[in-house]
Amino acid sequence: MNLKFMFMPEGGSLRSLLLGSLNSRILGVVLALVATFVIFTILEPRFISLNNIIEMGVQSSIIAVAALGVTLVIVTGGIDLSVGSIVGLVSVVCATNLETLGTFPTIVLAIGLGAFLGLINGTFSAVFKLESFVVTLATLNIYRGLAFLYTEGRPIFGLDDSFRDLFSNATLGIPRPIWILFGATIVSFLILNRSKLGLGLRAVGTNEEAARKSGVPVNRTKVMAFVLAGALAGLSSLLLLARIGAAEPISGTGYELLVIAAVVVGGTSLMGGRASIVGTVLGAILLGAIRTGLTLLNVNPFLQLVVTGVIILLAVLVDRSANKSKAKK
Amino acid sequence: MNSILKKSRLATLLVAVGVAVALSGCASETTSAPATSSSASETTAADEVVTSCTPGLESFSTDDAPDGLNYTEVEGALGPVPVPAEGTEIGSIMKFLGNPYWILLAEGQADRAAKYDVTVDVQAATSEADQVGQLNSAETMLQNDYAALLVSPQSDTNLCPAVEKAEGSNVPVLNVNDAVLPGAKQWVGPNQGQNGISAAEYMISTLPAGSEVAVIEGQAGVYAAKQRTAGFTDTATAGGLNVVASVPADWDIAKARDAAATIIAQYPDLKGFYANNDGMALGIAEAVKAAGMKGKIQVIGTDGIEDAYNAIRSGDLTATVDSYPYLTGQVSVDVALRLIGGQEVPRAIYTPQALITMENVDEAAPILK
Repeated sequence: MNLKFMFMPEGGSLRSLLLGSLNSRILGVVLALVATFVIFTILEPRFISLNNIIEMGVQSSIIAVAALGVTLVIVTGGIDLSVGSIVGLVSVVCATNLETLGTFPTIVLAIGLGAFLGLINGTFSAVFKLESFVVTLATLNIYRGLAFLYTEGRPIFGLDDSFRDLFSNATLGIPRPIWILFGATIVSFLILNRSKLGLGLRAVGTNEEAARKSGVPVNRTKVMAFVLAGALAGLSSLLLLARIGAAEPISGTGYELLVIAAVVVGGTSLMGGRASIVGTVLGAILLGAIRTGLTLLNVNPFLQLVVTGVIILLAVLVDRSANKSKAKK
Repeated sequence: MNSILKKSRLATLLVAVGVAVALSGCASETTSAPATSSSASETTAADEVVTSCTPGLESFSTDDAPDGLNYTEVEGALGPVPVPAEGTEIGSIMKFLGNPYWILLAEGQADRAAKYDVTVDVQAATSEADQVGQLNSAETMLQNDYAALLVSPQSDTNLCPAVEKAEGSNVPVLNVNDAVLPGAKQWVGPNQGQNGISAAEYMISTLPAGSEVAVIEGQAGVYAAKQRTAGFTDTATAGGLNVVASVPADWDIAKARDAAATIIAQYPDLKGFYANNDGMALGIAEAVKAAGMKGKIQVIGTDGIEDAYNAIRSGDLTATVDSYPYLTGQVSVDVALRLIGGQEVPRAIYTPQALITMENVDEAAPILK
């Protein structure tokens, strides 16, 4: 295959090159997670209780699912700032139509609408060749505005209980949001690491011109990344709807920053080319665990924001030094 | 056909199918039990557990609660507050601690708890509009062994999963002030509708009939915002004023300022603004000053925060309806201790409020000793 020829280092394969550079990154977030768990458990033994762990899983699931999709965009060297607005728009459209459509069609609507909004992002970024930062900044505003227009600024309360239970109840003792996160993680992992699309995504992020010359359909690949990010944001909005039983045009505000934080902390490079699906999920869980631990310790909620920001900085610094030491070898 | 496109289409299909399969297995469960979540493991033997989030025939309206008592009458009716066991801990989940109103309320709670040697852990969301964050904090707090939970949700329903969990483990939940849970079993706070009525009555008595006035609302859909706005609008209209605009600004100072500036430009003869809270009122006052209309357009807020008092003294704000958050915080702890001690407390306990203008701005606020 042409790609292998273009990127193959001496005596190695494309796969081993890509996977090898990631181990230190996932190691970073794994160590951080272990340290966080140890520190918080010492300070508050309840942190390690099964209850709390499940709670953290559920709380992280909304951001983590959306972050999976954004990881696929970031690996191509792009970025999706509109993910929070997609969540908002999809959630109000679904909440409004849930009664008339029924549960299953609403699920399809959520994922389909999310994918469509992602398609718009992808088309303007890839086909019209605009910077994805600018495109998704624009759609961040457009989608949010549409959400407000759709509901005339009003929230929608009173969602059907059976819909909420579908997404919140437990199967085999584990709440469904965790199962859904698990499923989305596996699918995202397979896409990124075991499919031609994934190879294409990473190739585009590593060197777009080289990828194009080796026959990767760059535009289609980029568009696909945004479509998947949008679809996963749609799935995330279903989890959000079920969790609070309401939809508001402001739902999802600020998610883009949480999602990008999870992706960055998880070891994915904002430059593109290198990404870790598992890292993203661990990153989301790490941020959630820190917040939960601080809440359990009754730390001032504003201090929690500061701590979260500091952790993100540390994660990036650890990343940087891990890369430097690799380069020296 | 390009194989990558095929694979990626397949991937998308996989996502959708995977989700559908995972969920359809559960769909068959729920179709046979459409009414409630009784297929889940947590409910008791009864078919439907009634919690503070079960709406019943109508949503609970605190302003018209048949089972309500003024806070001054509680001691007479129930006797003294029962002495709490040593080491009693109470959890309090506030809306947002960036608003002086809620800070004062939290202080009232903490100070009152200290008097009884009880601790109150206060947590809040990191913004006025972070409903999932508030729920996350609430659910995390439930891991601690609180004897009671004081809740001031950002919306009517965003804390319901936590409330249901708490009541499921027999931890009494006391709804403080705003928002109001659909079927709140116990609630403490001011009469929200009266807030708006007081403001309207002041404007009626000081403005000529037919004057144009506008309302800047809080977060759309939230009980306090709805009631205050309705109280004001109904009274003002009946009293001969013309309510020309009513827009939500989500309790946000900047949004309120911008909305007010727009309305002032639209209605040059406007005589007054009523804001659902003081933060927004101060933003409106800025807009009024910037338009050169200070003193010509009344601005009345709600809450009674210190900045509002200062603004009244300096003439920037015409009036506010003080609902004494510190006192409300104190009363909420008293009620919580009564609930912990097993007393039968009336469903709604009312705390006072008063219209504060230049004339009475220096009077001391009532507090519990």
